[in-house]
Amino acid sequence: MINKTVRVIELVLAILIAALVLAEILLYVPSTRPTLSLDEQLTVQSNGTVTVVSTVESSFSAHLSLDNLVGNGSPKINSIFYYYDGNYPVSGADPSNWFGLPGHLGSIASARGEVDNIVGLNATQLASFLTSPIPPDSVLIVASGCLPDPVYSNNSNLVVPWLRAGGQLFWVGSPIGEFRGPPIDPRGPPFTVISVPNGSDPFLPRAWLGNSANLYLGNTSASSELGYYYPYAWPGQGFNISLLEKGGGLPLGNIDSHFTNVARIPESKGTLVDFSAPSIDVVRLAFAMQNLLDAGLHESSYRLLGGTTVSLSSGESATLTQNVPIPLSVFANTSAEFCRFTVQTDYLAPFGSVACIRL
Amino acid sequence: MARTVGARNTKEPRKYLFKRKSSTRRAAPRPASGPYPPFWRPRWPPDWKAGEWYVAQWWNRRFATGIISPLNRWVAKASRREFLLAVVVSGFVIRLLLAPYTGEADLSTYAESSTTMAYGGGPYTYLIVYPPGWVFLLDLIGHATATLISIQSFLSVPSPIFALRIDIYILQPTSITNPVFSLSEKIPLFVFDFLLALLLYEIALESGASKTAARWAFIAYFLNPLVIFMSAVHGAYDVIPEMLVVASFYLALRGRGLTSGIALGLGVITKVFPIFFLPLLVAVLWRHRGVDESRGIVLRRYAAWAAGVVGMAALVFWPSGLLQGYSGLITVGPTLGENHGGFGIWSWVQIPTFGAVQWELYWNTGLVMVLTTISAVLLAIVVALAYLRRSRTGKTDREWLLAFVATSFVSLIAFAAVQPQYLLWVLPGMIIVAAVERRFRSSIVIVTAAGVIFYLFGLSSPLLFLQPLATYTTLLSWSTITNSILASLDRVGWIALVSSILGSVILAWVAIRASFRVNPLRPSEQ
Repeated sequence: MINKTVRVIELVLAILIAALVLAEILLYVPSTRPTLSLDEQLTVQSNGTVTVVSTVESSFSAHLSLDNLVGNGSPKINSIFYYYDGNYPVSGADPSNWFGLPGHLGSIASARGEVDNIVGLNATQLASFLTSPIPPDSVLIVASGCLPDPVYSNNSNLVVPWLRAGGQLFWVGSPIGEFRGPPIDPRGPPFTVISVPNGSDPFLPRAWLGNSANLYLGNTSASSELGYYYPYAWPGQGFNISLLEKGGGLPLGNIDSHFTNVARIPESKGTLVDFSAPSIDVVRLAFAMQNLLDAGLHESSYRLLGGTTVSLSSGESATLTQNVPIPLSVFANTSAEFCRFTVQTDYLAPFGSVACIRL
Repeated sequence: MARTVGARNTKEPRKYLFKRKSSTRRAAPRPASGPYPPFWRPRWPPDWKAGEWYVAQWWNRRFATGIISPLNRWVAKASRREFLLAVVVSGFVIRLLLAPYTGEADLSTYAESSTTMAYGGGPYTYLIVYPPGWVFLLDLIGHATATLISIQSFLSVPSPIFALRIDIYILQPTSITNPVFSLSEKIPLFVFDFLLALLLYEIALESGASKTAARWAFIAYFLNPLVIFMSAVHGAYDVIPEMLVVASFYLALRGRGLTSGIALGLGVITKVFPIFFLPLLVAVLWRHRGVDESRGIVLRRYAAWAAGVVGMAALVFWPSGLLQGYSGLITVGPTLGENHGGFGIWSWVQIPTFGAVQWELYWNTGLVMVLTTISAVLLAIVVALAYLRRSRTGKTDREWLLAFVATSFVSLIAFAAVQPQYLLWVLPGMIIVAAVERRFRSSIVIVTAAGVIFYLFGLSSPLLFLQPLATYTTLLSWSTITNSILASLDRVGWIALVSSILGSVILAWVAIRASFRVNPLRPSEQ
């Protein structure tokens, strides 16, 4: 005879199994899973405008930002090269975050239906990469806050020539160029780096830097429209926005006073997207990077033309029609494209979509 | 007539899971005053000196006679309704009062995972290291919470406090969970706390403990400050897999192969540690086969048990194709940068003198994890074999309880850092043994105290209470918290280190005691 305790336990097991099955149904069955769908139609008008008709529908409460951008070609990323080598140190970066960032980037990209195209490079491979022809539509991410000796030492700097030849670099951690890293002692901490006096000078003008805050709580138009938030900053290492813009750069991060903590800095043919901030909040960092990559704002030719926002309640749909005037200088460019980047701006929402049309 | 807890139909002889054995221990002299409750009754060594007797008598008068004895009388005499009202209701009320405005960083992680899934992400779009069983439950918790508050409200703004100490990498920025989400996540844990306490009561009773001792076992778990802290403050969900492990053993002892396997499988897909109990469960199923059972029946029971375990793994991994993604996550994840500490065997490396060892382990986390996991599996097999050698087929025994306690400790070896919530894995076994054999009583108290002290004074303590106070009340400001942390960082670090090493020594001591009890070379008492 089955005793009462056995019956109770088996009932609890049955409830747990039912709960798991229910969760799987909610997660995997299309009709039950939370959805946010977007349909966009872009039409180039003869009067120098682009008409955008966006229909968006959501099964949950959502806030969206619909952003208009123009640039040379569509923001296409063939491959992301990521430097990680556990034999070399970090500076201004949590080693776990340095290790884990590509995983977070890949998972956001997968959720958006994009190909997870991240290629890992160790220090030796990085040196080889920097001296080889630059693969088209590629970016390099260095989130260690210091460059390893094989690419950056007293005698050589492989990064600056590569940048000026058209490389596109995302940098996070201690200020770029300020530290170099010899191989670490396997019985020591991963923070043993060597300071390089005035090491950031080849990368960016020292006069641009300032501001003592380490939290930037305001938004630039880029961070606001592209829906990311990375408020951390190094004291004294913020970018003066007016000087940055005069020098052809673009403020991309959060703002304190008239300084931003993330900037797109032109480097001759290439671009440096400099997060002048520690790598400590890997989730927010990944969203910021992925949104910049998807929208194409890491490329020197891309610029924002403003946008609009939409708030949807659960089960609600909306259709928006926008006529976006295109600057004449852009129309004159034969390879110019207009792109619409739509992103859900709620924290941790993975939705993001980009649609482009040749002008 | 009111039915008391544990009472059975008198027409049927009570079936004990485990045969009562006559005590072969030496009778210890008892102090003059008493009586003691069975759960607390000390054994007095016969060779105590006068001073020790004095201390014992003082303890006896002040604590045992003054507090425990009246309490024990009440526990023994209270009706079932009185007992349930006083213990269960008070346990739930304490938990519900603590739950909404407290939480550890893990709770934010759960809320973040739920948020992403509620926005249409997959189970691992937000990277989280827990097995899919728990991630799926987080999805349900998210759906339940979304019926009460918007998804955007699961988390409040990140606290600015932690950005101010970015240079030391100890305190990371984190988010704070909404009280509604905190309650949604914690209430199921309270239910499992209750179910596990009930199961401990039942096992203690069926193992030959008196009704009073079994009730004390219920109290020792359900009102245990560490258990309350874990589920009501931290929001740690370890109670779910632990309850499933205990349930799996109970069902195996009752000859329920399929559901025993299902319980273990559910435990493993929720949190990995129950897998270390697999060898002992196989041994228990073998030893508790009936003397007259044919080989076919035994094989069928094993097949059903294995089907239960595999079926539960398939339930979460197979339809969704999650196996590859999850195995990639857990095999690649720990190759770098695991901290070594907490109550684990590596806690001593946190002493500054051993910095080189700490970094050596840090850079070889993957290798250390593999080696310690293999060691733990081998030890779990040794415990299972020792159990097989000590017990006899066809006869009920209580040796499984001690083997269960030993296996609980074995699983802790595999972890580089043993957090206070992992202590839950060892408490249930010790509590049953304490009720049945009066062992481990002091160990339960010490382990509980060590866990609570570590919770209160460990470096994450500000996360537990202070962040919500600053977020939801005007009692504290962020700058006050930041300045307090900065002023006391070194002291708090030392307290955390000392409580960590002390806790690991206590655990090792209890583990060694438990291991000696299942020593296969020692003659069986049966």
